[in-house]
Amino acid sequence: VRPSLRTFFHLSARAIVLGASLGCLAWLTLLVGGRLHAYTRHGAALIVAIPFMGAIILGYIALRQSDSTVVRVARELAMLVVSLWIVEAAIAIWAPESPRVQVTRIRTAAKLGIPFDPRTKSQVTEQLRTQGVDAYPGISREWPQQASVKQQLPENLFPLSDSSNAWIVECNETGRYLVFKTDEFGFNNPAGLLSSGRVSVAAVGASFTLGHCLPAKDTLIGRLRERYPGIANFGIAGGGALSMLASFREYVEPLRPRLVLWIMHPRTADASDEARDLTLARYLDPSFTQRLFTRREEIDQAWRQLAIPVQYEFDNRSKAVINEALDRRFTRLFLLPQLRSRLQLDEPLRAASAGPSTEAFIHAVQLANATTRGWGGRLVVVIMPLYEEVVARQLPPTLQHQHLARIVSDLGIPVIDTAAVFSKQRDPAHLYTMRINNHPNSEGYRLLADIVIGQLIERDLQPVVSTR
Amino acid sequence: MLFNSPLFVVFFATVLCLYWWIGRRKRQNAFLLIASYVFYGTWSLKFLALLWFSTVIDYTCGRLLGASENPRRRRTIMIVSIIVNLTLLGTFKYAGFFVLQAADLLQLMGFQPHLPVLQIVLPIGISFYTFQSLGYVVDVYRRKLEPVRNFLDYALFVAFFPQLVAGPIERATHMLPQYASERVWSRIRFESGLQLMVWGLFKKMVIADNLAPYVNAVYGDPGLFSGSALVTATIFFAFQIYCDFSGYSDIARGTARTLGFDLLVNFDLPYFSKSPVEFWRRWHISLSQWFQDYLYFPLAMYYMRKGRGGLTKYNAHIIAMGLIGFWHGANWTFIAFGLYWGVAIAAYLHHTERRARRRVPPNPADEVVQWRSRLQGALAIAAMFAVACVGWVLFRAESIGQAAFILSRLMSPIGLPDVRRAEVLSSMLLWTMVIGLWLAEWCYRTRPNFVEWLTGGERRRLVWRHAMIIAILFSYVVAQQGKVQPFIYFQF
Repeated sequence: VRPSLRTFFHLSARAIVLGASLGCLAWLTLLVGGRLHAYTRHGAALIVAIPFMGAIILGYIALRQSDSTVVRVARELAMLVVSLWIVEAAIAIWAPESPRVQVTRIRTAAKLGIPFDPRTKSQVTEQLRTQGVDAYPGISREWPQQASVKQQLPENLFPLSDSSNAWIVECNETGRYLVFKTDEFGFNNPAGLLSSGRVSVAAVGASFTLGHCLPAKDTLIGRLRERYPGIANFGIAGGGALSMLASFREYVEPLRPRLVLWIMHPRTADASDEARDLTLARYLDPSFTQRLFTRREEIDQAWRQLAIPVQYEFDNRSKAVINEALDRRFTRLFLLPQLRSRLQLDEPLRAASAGPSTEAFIHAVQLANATTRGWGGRLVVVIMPLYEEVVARQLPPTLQHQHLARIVSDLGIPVIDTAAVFSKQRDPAHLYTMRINNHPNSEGYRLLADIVIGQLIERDLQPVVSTR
Repeated sequence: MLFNSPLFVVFFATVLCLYWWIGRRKRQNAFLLIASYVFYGTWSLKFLALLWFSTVIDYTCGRLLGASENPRRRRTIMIVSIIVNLTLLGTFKYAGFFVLQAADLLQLMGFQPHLPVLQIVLPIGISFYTFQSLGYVVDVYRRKLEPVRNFLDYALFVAFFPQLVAGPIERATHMLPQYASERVWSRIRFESGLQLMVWGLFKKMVIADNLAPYVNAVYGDPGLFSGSALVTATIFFAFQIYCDFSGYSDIARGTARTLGFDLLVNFDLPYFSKSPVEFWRRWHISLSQWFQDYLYFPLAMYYMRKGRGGLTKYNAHIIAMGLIGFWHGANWTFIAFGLYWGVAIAAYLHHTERRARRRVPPNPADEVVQWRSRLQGALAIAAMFAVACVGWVLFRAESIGQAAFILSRLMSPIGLPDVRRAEVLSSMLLWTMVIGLWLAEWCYRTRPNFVEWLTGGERRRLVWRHAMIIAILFSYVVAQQGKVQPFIYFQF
């Protein structure tokens, strides 16, 4: 007897619901098979309970309920799947996730009507060089760690600065590239400052210290320089606790300033990545030094040869990644990649992975403090506000500013927690360029400088203010 | 645990399955009570003790009231309950405000006060469950209700999770009989509950949460913006707060309905009101009815007994509305918001009374009269919306000074005409949402057949439901970037 269309319809509905139940079981097997370790105990219980209950309920409906109930549930499930695909397609069309933050900046600028230079660093450098400018792309602390770069660098050299007396194409967050001229040691300072013997304050740090991505006068160091003309900037993009210790050892120690500002942000406290580099790790030994202060020609020669091709390769790789992501956004639509990556519903249930390690940071800052004390100077730790902490509130507890401030205070080192002030702002996003995950804007840097100066005065930590 | 968080979906699905699986009323009530305490405990275990304390006190007062026939003793018990409840509310919600005002006053008088700055965390939902619990004691005192014997039923009445943190403020006469009766599973009720939840989530996550960044941007720095942007932001806020709070109420009602309970309707198309009195009959209905029954009527009786004529007869309205304003929070802006509505209601009643005395009633069969009445109705709705928006300025502003500044600049051409920020959707899109919602409600009000045709039938409802789910997901993932926005009324 041939089954009627109605029977076929009911059987299909049962098959859909049963399939969903088996799908839940497959998910459960996958979880138990090895993914559970990624979750906390409660998280694992919940993550197992959901597919387990789903499998039982759907299985019960498929096998024991009436045709009308099964059809209704099957219809609901089918519509849910279609809805999810529609959302995925809508995201792929209107708001595809970009693997590079620069694309987000360009999109935001377009939305705000801000003219934005979409060129890569290589393109800008190339154009400047064709105009006869001795320009190079700004280096990042990660570069010397990359195998391809390491091979080409002279043995036992881990540079911590750019080429000296060169124009550096650094970054673009505002719409226009920050291009600055380095001093005789490859840092973002007025020429001659480091050799003049007038350095009273030294600032070691990462991109906040370097001044991403505003003209020098609008940055934190630029504003501090209005009050302390003898402030020297040793910031390097992408720096962490160990590279900061390295900069301190190589450049600050020879100068022996009265005040050292250790300008960190929460991410720099996690030195696990830097600790993998043998050279950087050796800085935890107080006697280790590369004597970079006297090796500037070697550094210049290396970067003048390497910086442009390395940046070119990086830009090409970025472009390829962006294009690949754009090409693939529709091909894997059925697996809902965009939706899953954005939802990350299981994130709160996940166990902290290996977790950020602040041990190396503590050791580094202790060493720097003891050394500064040794020549009669003072070291002050300044905690910068990261957008992802004060606006998006996405940092793990062990890297949050309060926690770090407490660690530093317990070491007996004065700490200025600017992130605490930013967090208390009614609308902290307005202090960041374009209100997105960027560095502070001019107003933000001004506030940072005011906090630092105010705290130095209040705690009587100021160096003797020279009147230039 | 917020209604719009993924955690609530898991919580709700688990509660729902176990609740209907248990199947017996007493066990179901006990289970719901535990679930409600778990729900509240995710915010604060400390304040769970406060909720429990309030429950025990009012349950005991109810039992004592039931056991006593002595009027003086009964009155004393009720007063004790009122004092305990209002002390709790006053301590946690208003103490800091009063200390601050006292310090300011003493300073004005030339003293140098050194009063402590109180920073007390407000227990979530305290204004709602305190009033609900207090209403029960007053009802028992007034003999409208027999005191409940079963403590579990009473504790569930106070802590029932769908309406615990932001209402509707339920009446014991409405809920206790439901807790005392067996529940029968009904697929139609269940589906309509889910439908209501999805509609509430749509209003909250698609409309309110997308309007919020625009409003926050303008009200965060009103001096930057021109009158047109201020007007736009105020209209957007009117819809934001409506979608936020009525969305919450719909989710609460939908959740309760899937569990077999009916909660009070809290909103009834408030922006189609033609008078201030009607507005408060349609806006946060459970709160205005609570104040009407337990405060306004006794006050009105008091003023009537005093027998003074003139404008003093509106004192009860002004006081009741002032207190409704103050209920929202310890800030002068909320008091001004309440008083503003009190004066608006008094002015409207006074005007209507005088007009009714003078006018001869028109013939309703006359076509011209019908058209005039329709036009007047439309104008009254528009005027009422404008009146409500002025109230929202007082409500949303951070200080009376800021509210006055905004109101004085509504016509100013100076400043930015629009908000352009990364997190703000284009104002054209926001206007489309607002007008779309208004039109949908207009259809619902005036063309019920059309709405019935559009959403009737199982398949059409299924399509609508999933269309809303798509919009909710897209808004959550793209516009809100996966961040769950809390409900405005949670702070009250």
